[in-house]
Amino acid sequence: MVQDKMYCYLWEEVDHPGECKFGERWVLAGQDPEVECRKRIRESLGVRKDIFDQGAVRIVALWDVSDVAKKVERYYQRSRMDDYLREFIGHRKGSTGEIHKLNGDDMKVRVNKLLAKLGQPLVTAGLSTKQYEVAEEVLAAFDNDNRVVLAELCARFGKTIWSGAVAVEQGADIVVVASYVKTVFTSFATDLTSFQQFANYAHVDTADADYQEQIEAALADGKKVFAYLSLANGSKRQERIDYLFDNKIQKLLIVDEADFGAHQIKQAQPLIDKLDDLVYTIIMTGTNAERAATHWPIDSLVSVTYPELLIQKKATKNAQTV
Amino acid sequence: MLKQFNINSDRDLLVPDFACYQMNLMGPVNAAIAAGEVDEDFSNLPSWAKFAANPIKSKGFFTRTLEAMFLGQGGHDELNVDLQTEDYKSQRVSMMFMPANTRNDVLELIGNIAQETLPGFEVVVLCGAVKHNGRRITNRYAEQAVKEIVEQGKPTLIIAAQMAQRSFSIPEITELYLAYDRGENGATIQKMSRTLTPGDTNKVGRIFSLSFDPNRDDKFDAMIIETANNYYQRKELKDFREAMKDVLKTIDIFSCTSDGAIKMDIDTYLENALARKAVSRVLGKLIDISKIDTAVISALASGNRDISKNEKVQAALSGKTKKLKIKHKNKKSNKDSKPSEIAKARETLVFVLENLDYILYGTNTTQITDALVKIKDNETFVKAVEDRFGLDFKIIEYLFKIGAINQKHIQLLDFF
Repeated sequence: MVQDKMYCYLWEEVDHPGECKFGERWVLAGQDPEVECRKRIRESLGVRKDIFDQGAVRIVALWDVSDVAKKVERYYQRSRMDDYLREFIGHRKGSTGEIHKLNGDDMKVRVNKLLAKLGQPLVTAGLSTKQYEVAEEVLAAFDNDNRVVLAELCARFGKTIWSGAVAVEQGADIVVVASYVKTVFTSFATDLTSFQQFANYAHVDTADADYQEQIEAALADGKKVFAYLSLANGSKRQERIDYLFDNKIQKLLIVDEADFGAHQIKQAQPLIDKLDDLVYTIIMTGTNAERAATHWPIDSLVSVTYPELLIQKKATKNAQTV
Repeated sequence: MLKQFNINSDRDLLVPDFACYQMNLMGPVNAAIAAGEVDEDFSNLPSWAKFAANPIKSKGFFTRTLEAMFLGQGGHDELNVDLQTEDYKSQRVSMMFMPANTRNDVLELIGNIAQETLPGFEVVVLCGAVKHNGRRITNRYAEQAVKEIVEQGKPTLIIAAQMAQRSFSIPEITELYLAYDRGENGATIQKMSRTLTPGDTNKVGRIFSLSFDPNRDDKFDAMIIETANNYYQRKELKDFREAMKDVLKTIDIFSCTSDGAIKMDIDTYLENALARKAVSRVLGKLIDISKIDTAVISALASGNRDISKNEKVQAALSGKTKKLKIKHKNKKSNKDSKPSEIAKARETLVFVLENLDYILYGTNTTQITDALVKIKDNETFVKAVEDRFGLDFKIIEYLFKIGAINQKHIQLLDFF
């Protein structure tokens, strides 16, 4: 780092989910932001540094907020940049505290969205070699008029950021992430909002009462949308599916954890019924690809096993030592 | 080429390495039999299924196994994990998966036996019958409960069956024990992945297959053969055997002996895999069934040659129909072929794969295309093939014509 930077950090206690601490750290040129923020977090625990030392503190995120700090004339040490940002976020515990009554991941998404809105460039996401290769394969399959791709991608492949990258490159205006596993949606929103390539996307949970307004507002604002759709059977599921698919907008459908619940006919068929020339689909799973694909008309398959990641690791290591 | 994303090759380095170990349990089994510690049924043909049905009846086998593995006791060095891995840790965090159908009360019992045997360990059983800090263990709570226990710093053994197969990430787990006889490939890979959560940068996830008959144990085969298949296709290699060899150069598979772990050489591994028919089973699973017309799938599933005379099948074989594809609104899903029908069709395909040598040797050829031409021109050959496979020859010809079965399969299966 060649110049001083304003950083914000976010942490939570592992044993006390639902509350998190958002703060700032002025990092001097030549210092490591991660080390400095960790130091600050530990110091802030006062006589209970043991909580930090025992690993009971999870550092949820760090942000370089220097650009936006300059814009709002808070680019200096102890400028209370964190307080400036927290005013937008809300959910404070008390009127003056630095604790927010939010789950760490939820707070992270809110800060990511806020920074994107304020024009702070986010970190640029890079893909592993294997992620990059497989993204190219899937995009080539789409180009060859394969509409439904089954992606069997092993543990540690990085499915979330990978499928997000495919969505960005493919360019659909609405990306529907459908799953029977609700934690999937948090993973997508938390991971993707951290990176610059996704800054122009709104993330909308279709469980929200005003999800249609959110989607329409985002599209009207020139943004694209990640819409999260629970496949759990409920009275409003079909209505949400109809809204998301019965239109003339290009869509990418990502069915995540497709071998878990989503493989059943009651979950799959309502989506299959909506497949048309405006929809590309990725059926994504870690294992049990055949089960995941039971009801889907698969046109193409991509697969990555864990040993392939190790083969790539070895190749990269060799290339770096040459 | 992607427009908005670049490769960050440092990300390639984040995945932990892993090593596979084959452990032969017959040492403690024989010792327990000699000491009269197991019942007759278990003595005759020991299996994890029998153990999980009634652990009390074969308790002696299990306690001896745990003592050998974790305490180095009983003179069964082939099970001594420290000796095999040459890696001694003050806090060992291990996870053991028992047969998937183990009942909760039995799993709890197995946990109690393990705790009695390993008093220095914290044994954690993950199932709905168990509570931690007054709270019942659930899939959602399992990870947090184990983290709290691991933080105490004691050696830990986590015992599970169904729970914690997915969304369970404990970086400290470095040893994973597969204590069941045969399982679904997908589930086995899920379980193996529990030791692959990144921890410190030099982490090696060690996966042990605890087997009563290592020569027939195929738990590692599916992953290796699937990897070779992907590698073969992506690298556009000409020889599938070369792909297998390249993959096996990257994955360490050890055979555990009383002198320590011995790395299995590639040829031995391949020979054993072929002998236990693992290769044909996995290749059968990998056949792209979506290429095959649904009428032919039905014919394969029925195993009845007569069905191949029906009109739909004949139309498929003569190329008059196309496989189902959804390209337009309101088309139906590919539910014409039910999962059970597909599974049966796969069994037939595996049988075809396993008997390809019959076609090649019978026609004195090495290329399947040459063999098919020879058979087609000779009625006796056609009848012999149909009798052997129980399928119309045209169906076999069709499978090759559409590439569902191909020369790649021959290369690997016609090995020796």
